[in-house]
Amino acid sequence: MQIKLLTRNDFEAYSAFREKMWPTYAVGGAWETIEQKYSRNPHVGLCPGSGLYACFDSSEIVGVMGAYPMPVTFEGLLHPGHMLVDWAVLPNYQRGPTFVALLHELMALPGRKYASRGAPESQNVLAGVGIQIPSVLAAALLQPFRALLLERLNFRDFALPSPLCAIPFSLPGRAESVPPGELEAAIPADLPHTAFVRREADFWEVFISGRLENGALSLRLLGERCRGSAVIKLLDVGPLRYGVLLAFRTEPRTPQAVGRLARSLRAALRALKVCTLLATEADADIRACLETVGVHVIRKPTHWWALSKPSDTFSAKHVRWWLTSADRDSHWGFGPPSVGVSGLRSLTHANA
Amino acid sequence: MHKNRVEDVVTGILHDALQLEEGFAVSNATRLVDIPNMDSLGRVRLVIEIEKVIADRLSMDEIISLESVGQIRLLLAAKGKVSIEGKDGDAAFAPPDDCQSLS
Repeated sequence: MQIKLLTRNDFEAYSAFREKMWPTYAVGGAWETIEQKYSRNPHVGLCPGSGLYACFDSSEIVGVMGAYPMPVTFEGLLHPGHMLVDWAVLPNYQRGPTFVALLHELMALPGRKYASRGAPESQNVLAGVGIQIPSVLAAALLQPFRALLLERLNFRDFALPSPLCAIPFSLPGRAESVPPGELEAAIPADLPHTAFVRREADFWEVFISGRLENGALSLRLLGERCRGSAVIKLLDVGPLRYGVLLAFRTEPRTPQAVGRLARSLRAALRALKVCTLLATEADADIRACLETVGVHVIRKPTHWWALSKPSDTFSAKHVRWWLTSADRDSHWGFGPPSVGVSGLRSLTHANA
Repeated sequence: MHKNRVEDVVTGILHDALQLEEGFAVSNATRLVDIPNMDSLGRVRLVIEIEKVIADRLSMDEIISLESVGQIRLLLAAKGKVSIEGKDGDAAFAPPDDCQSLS
């Protein structure tokens, strides 16, 4: 058994793994998305060791785990690290040490370690090694009936990226799509004692270049005596379209500006026939934006995990975290399927 | 009573990690893949429980080498946490051939 960082040279072995792992899900673990997420992502350079790792049994890949770069800024300093994601182990190997070996190897990479919420079965394991970072996931309903259909029938599990035209276009409500290179980083209002990941234009340029996989769109928002920007990803399930708010920036940073720019965003989303806008409520501005965008907002608590290491440079428990939907690695595009045999769910239901 | 039944810290680790049913008996020859509730997350819990007992991190080789209850016992013995002697003074088990590197 050997664990190594995957490169383009491993493409054939990885393709064989995909076919065995997701035989009926052609886009599960798409290599294009992996290249975007782990190679072209400019944060990789800030977080040594980033990438998708595979466990080999002779020449066969039997499991994978990703070290997704998480360059956290705290008190003006950069604290490199990784979110451990994209877990998948072939069914026949799920009772063996493949997963724990991958976890062990990636935990030893330099920097802090994090995990997203993950499956319910994994919570007690993660609680044993990590600290919860509480968060709120909100859904702003623009078209409540369609939004209800989307949610109640679990249609989001079957969504595909919206086939948007890459040419910049104008939208009602003083919004226009703009090249991502024109974006400025969205950052928290209160920087002291706040930990966050700063995403500059170079990040968004790479991310939005993968719009065919992720449906991303960068918008410039204008309002009376204010301006701002938003990054959303749009996904379609048949006639239903929903969005995820990845970044929201306003200038000046006042409640009035947030309200005006949120109204511009709302008009744009309505024109795009978006029925629901999902977002992680990192702060009061995003919360206020969602309140303006939707006729109703539904919230539920969620969390990330900070996986503790002796080398941690600050305690995850004693800081204010500003994590947005952009911090969820799944926004890059096609990951493992949400239904069927995949990822962590499969890890806990071995077929051996 | 099974001759090789393990009635010690190793059993405690297995029960804590895998929430085994009361009365489920393991011997040193029991393979980990044959234990109910053993899956990828179970392996993680098992490693966490072992690391708690030895107050140290396991190496990758040690993690991969754990294939049977006897190998857990040998590992703990190598760390000075258990004796490989039975509680009656008899040898509790014969280490499998592939366990020698841990002893």
